[in-house]
Amino acid sequence: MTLTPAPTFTTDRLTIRGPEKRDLAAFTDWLGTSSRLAHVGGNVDAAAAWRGFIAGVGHLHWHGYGFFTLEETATGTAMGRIGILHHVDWPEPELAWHMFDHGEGHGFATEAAHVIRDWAQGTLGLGPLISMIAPENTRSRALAERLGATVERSAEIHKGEPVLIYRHAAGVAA
Amino acid sequence: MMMPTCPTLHTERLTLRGPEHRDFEPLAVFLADPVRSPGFGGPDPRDRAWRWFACSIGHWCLHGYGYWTVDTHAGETVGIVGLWNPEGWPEPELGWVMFANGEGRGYAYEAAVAARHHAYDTLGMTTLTSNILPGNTRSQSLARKLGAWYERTYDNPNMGVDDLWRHPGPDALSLSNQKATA
Repeated sequence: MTLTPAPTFTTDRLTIRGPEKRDLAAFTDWLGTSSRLAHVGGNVDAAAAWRGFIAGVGHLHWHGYGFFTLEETATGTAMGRIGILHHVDWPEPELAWHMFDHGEGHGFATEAAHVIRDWAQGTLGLGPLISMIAPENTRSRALAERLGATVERSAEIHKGEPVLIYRHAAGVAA
Repeated sequence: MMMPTCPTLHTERLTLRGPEHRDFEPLAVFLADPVRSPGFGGPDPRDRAWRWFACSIGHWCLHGYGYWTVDTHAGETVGIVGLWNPEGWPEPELGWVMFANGEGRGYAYEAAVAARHHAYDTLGMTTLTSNILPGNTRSQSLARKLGAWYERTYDNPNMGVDDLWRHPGPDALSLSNQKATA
């Protein structure tokens, strides 16, 4: 039994699959100890990480899409997560990514983002997606721009934190 | 979309069923209520209520138990009652929330008895607790009616200073049932 109804995709190097219990440790460790979380809410304890993880599972059930685990096929190591977020307070479905520290700098997010974007456009019938990125999050902005996304407008999320809303190019219908 | 498959429990007046999309709105109304929701960690704005509801769905997937939506047989949703055990909790707990339209009719008691029975009989749990904020006299009354007793005060990761109540275990409950029917 899988935890979610998420499909599985494969690329040259990656298996992009629904979250499973075995991902919880890496996710909790990343949220608890990474020094790179300033733009996505900062470090949180194990209890908050657990709730974030199961909310991700619930999101996939609610929408039929959500965060996938991005696993390096050769090693079976979880490198991060990527997917489509649509919380109740989100303006539209968002293409979002969280790379764990050891998953950065290998082009994994770019490799997976194309797959998710095309799936959104094709199977899910979602229009060109947005990505909401803090203005000073230069690494994430660089990824959005590599994917061909352009800044559409500024907005605020949560308690008024500023974000740039990027608009992605239409994907290839997968 | 597909929600997780959850067991449905039936009582004399109520049905306890797994979460559905339509359950979010009444929950959001409850969690926004500054008078009724503090015992459940509120008040929470709509965006936080949605995340809690997503957690509640995910909790079922990870644990195989969680919060049921409680409906009358006429189909009116009156609250949520269930078994909750997130990271950081001392033990699995039996929890209850009645919405404004479900108060004062003994529904929480009836649903909690069914949920506790499921925990002991089907899931094989051997004990249960309830976390009740100090001063939440209505919940304390229900806990007493369920046969539970105050055990200790501790620091809960979500609620802060919290009281842990202990429910009678399966053996004690079947004993009291035998007495009641003797």
